[in-house]
Amino acid sequence: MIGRRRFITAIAAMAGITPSSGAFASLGASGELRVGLTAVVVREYMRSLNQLSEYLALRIGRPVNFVYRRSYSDIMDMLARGELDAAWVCGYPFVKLRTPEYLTIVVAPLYRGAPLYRSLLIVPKSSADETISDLRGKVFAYSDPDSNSGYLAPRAAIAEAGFDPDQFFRMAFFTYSHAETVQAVARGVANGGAVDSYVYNVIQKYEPEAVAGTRIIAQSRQFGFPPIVARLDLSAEVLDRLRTAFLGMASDPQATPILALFDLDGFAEVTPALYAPIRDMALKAAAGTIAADVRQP
Amino acid sequence: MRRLDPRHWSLMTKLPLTIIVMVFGSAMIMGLMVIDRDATRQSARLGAQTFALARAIAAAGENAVLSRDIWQLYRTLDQLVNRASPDSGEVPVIDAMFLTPDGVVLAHTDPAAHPVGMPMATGSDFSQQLILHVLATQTPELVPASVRSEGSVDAVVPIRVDETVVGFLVLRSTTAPMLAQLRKDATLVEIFSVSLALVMSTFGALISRRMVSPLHKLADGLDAVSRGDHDAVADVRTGDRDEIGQLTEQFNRMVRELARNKRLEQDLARAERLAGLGRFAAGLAHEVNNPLGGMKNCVNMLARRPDDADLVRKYLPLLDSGLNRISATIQALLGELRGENNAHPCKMNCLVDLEALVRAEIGDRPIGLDWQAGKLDLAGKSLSCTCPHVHQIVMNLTRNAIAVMPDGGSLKVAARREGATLTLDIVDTGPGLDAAAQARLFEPFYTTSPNGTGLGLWITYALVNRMNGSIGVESAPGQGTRFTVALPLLEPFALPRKEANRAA
Repeated sequence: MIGRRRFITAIAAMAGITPSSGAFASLGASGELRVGLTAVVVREYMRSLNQLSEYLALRIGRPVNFVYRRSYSDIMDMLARGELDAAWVCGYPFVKLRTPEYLTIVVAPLYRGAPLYRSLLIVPKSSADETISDLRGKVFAYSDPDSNSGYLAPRAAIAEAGFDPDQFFRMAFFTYSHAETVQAVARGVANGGAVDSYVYNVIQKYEPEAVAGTRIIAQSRQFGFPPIVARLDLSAEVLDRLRTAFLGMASDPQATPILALFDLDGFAEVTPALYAPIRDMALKAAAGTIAADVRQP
Repeated sequence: MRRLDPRHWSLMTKLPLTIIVMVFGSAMIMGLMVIDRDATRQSARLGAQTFALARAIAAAGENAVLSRDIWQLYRTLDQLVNRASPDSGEVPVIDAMFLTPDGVVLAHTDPAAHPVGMPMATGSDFSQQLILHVLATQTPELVPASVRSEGSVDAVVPIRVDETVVGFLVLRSTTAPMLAQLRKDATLVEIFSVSLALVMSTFGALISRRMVSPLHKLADGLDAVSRGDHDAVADVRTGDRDEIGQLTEQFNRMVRELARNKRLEQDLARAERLAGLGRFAAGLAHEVNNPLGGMKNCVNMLARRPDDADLVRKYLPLLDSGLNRISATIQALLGELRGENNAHPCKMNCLVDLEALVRAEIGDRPIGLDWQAGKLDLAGKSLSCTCPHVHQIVMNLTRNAIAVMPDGGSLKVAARREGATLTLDIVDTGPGLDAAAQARLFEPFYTTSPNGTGLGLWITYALVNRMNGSIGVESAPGQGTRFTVALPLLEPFALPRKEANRAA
């Protein structure tokens, strides 16, 4: 059970699989494609993720190696340094300012027919809190400081309600995993938490008792689903093969069980414009402090 | 009630019981000592383990405490509590928490009761005193659990970075699994002890019974012997050569000896009885035959000359005298045998008269009389005989004493009361009696005097005997003779009613 939860966490945090077409120096020594994911995958589920990596490797003609790190910032740093070729990252780090730009979107997952998801505000099932204002002075669980649904969205909501997000809670902490945010809230370590709707629903599907201790009290508008990004210097050929491989999964019977496991419909081509609302929200919420980091529209 | 008093119990019971109690006691004490030692050791182990775990967790949580990584801290503690299964041998942590130096909760295994970011709950199970103490001393503290009751081991460890305390780890482990294990161990130890004690004490009891069993038989045997039953005693057999074995052997020998002696005594007694009867018959024959000889001659003479008046006149008194002598002998024998109780019981007032009679008997012989039988206080009691009987007893004895002192001596007559017994002493300084004479002294017709009939002491003996009294003699050749007569004194109402009425 825990294993599966961690696995789901890993999927949710998967941050991209990108063949770097440009400088082959960015590729691993053996020509393998290094793909960054956040959170930890438990050993029993390595085989399932191995299925995906084998599938992709077959399609692009290179070995695909998943690299796990705790936070998005770790993954982003590794991308910046060229230690990763691709990653599955959240929309929030993606919209942050990079000078010069070194990332490009490969694809975005299709969840229930669209590359969209929401941020959910959850509280313990027994809690009497009904709005985010009720959580003032309490303990809150964020997922990752670079997560849109698990950090930016709830802070934007707090700012919208007229409070300073940094002063709003008595104490706030990061779980670096949506699944663990659910756990922290269910156990009462936190009085509230913000989670990715996709992850929450996947947990509910595979492990209903894990979310049974929580209750959703608010949901955000829809945002662009965390995309799979690649380094700009990945060779165009590899990038193209990688994108084709993802896009073809929806119609490939061989990929069906893998997609079913991830509870996704497939992958679609998206433009950076899909993530503009996240950028806008970041600008608004941070009121200048984060603005410098975010690309201007 | 006697059966409940251990002093009346048989050794056959007491010794095995003692062994059982001792063995059980030893086993129990040993068992308890083992259990106690085990408990102390287990408790110390739990304390050491808890402390070591707390230190390790504190060290591991250093960065998370510094960076306020609440979730990381919680997961660390949560794993501590959840992973500990009862049989894993791991420290059974009940709860644990990370605190800031100000006592604010950073993480607690029970977040609902101890919310993050709040000061440690005042109702907390953890000892605030202990935490304050650790805060003051900055030294890790451990409060060990009591082994006797279910409780907890509390450890408080400061988390230090560069000599600065950045937080605390408080950890509590429960003694419940340890106690459960100890109880299990204790049960095993007790079962083992009791079983061992059962086997050993049964063994001991059997052995001791076997060892004591000859003693038991000896006691039974001695009991039978004391009742005079020598033949009913079976030999006590024992194969051991120890003290009991030797005692048993000696006892067996003694019993055989006693049985033999008893047979010898019986044989001897019968022989003496027959001899006595013979002497009695001979004495009687002699007493009757003596006058018969003379009388027969007289009758022969008278038959030859029936018309000789002188002869008749001369012989008739002789015949009369002979018949009288025979009659007196028979009377003496019969008189003794016929009890005469129809007279006033003697209250010893007659002793004064007796003195005069004894003095008259002495006459002008050179015998000094020491009369110490004055009026006695009988405390309202009396003898079961009449005064003439007492007279007869005293006179018979004094007459004999006077007779054996023809050349003079001294005679002492004393009477005294000791409780319910009247004792008379008649002591002479005559030639004394040897053992053989003493043995036959009271037989009828036994006499040392050529003129004696040998019936005086026989009658005395018979009189004393009839009064349930006793008569004894102490004498040795050249040492004089002492007769001691003891007569029981009776309460007046113990007399037959007829006599009591007449006395009144």
